[in-house]
Amino acid sequence: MISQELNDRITRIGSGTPAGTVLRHYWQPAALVEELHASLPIAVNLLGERLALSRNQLGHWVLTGRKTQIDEPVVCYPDADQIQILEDGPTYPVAENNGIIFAYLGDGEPPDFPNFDCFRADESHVFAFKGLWECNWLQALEIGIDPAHASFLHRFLSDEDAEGSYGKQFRDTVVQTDIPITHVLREYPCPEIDVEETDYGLKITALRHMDNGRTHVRITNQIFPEAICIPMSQEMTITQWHVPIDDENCYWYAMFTSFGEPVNKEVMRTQRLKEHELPTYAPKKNRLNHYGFDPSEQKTQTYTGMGMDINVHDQWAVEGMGTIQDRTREHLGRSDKAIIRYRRMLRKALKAVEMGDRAALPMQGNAHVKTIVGPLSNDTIALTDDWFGVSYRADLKRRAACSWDASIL
Amino acid sequence: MGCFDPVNIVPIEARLFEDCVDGYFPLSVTLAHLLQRQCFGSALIAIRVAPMMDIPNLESGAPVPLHINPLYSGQIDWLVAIARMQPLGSCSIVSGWAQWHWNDRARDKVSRLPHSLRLAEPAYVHGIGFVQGHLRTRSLGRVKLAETSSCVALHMPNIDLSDFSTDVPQFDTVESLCWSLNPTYFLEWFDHSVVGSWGCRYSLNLGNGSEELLLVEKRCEVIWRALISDTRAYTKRSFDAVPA
Repeated sequence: MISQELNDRITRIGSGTPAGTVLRHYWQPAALVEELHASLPIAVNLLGERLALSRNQLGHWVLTGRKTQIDEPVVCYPDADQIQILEDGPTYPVAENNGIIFAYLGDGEPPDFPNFDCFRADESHVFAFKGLWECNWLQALEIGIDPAHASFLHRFLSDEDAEGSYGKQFRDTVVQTDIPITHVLREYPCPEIDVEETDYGLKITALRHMDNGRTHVRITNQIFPEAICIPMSQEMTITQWHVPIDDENCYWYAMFTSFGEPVNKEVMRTQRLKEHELPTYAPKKNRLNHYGFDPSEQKTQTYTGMGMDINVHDQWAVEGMGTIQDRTREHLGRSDKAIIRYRRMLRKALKAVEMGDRAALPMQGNAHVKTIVGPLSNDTIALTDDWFGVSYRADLKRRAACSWDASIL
Repeated sequence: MGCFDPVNIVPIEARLFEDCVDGYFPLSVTLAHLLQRQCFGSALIAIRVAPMMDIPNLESGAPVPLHINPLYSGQIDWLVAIARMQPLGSCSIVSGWAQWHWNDRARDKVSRLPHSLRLAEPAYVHGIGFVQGHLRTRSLGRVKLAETSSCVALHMPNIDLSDFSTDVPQFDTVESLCWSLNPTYFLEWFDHSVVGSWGCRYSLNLGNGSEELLLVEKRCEVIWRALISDTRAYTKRSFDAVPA
């Protein structure tokens, strides 16, 4: 339970707000490159600001302020000829990186990009997509750093053949085994959770102790301020930002990064367009149609009864808390370790920006941001005594076999 | 501080720890759970940017409120305190320093945090925990002498060596603790010059001779020291002398 004042401090992101100032010190996903095939400029609504993305005469991307139309909805994509650039509006730095246009809305020089796998992988090995969630960015982020929720919210009552799992999360087998992830999550719902503060944010380890002295190890990451990096399958990870459109809406931007074969982008895009409307990238399953809830499915197939796409489960969970979660009525428990550590980092960052101490923020100041690699993100099953070594070696083995330079040593 | 005599330096069994404590209960209960879980008799603990609450007339055993009234809530910006187990399993916060603010700004005029304080949500804590033993100390209760080597020691003026049931090992021993925490990280936020006092429940009129100094060394070098007593727990960044 925190007061409304403290909740506002960590959730609201308008210009001049504490959390908004922290987010503005980092590159933010602003648009997918695939959106730019439309006529330019395109509207970009980011951190409560109404912006437009276009190219200048040199062909460089330019992000500028635009006039807001009367009764314009929060999520809107007006035609290019309807967009009017503000002559005295802000102009922000822009960078294109593996399918996503990033923007820097803060003061001073933008920081370097870390050397994360999603940025250093070849373009052929990264697929980017996004989706709309109608809720505050923080609750969207916090579900992604809770290792326990997957055993309930994403519980599948039976296991699927991994052959048909391409491009889907939690549908593969654990590396070097034939044990489906769905089986592990379902049968071992109470992980031991360890959270470690790192240069980039948090390393989150969930240990599910199994039979015969074995342990399932799942390593995920929080990348400060509002991204996660999690394993998707044996060969892919997901690096996902939860980017505020305003205080009550956000986009998730995901970079699916393959350590194996080049990503079949056509398959992955087709899978996701079945679930999303263009041009808003709004989910077809939503509050208005009860997220596709089917009681018979809930009885026999899934915990939620909301289909096989785990994004829908998460969307229902975070939108169901209200547009901005009321944390005056919240009761976190000790298993919410990662959320507790994350809020601590965020509150420290809020204090730091209020003191004008930008260098105290993760990946800012004198930090050698370009030397930050990884992060390690995988699922393994190991003898309990050597779970750390097995996880680490599995990551090194995957990196060694990678066609792009994924080395971390 | 002046020089101190190495003969008064006593290695004790201690280890760095980190943990996640429950909120909602009175802080003394929350910290008792921590000490029991970690098997410590006492601990020097640090908490950073944690929401807190202090609800008037709420019995210590009453159910956790479902909703927080902004008048009773605030935030600990940082807090360092010595928590010590009491015989019946409850815990007493012996001493501490903190910086905080209340939503109700009128409460900020009070320079002490109340003993009925509760964390408003679970919090990450870290610190140095002390194993219970037979050596009587003013600050930490009864601690255990390190039988081999230790990175943690107490400097105890006027120490009575008859308290010890074993020989006192030398302080200049190799590191033996597992440094899961970078000690400089542990101390990053200590700045006692900007904070108010808290928790002066005991021994208000201590003289200089009653101060105890907590020393942490790594590779035979004192890397951190904190002046502690039952009314104080804070760091001292510079000293005139350190033991060889």
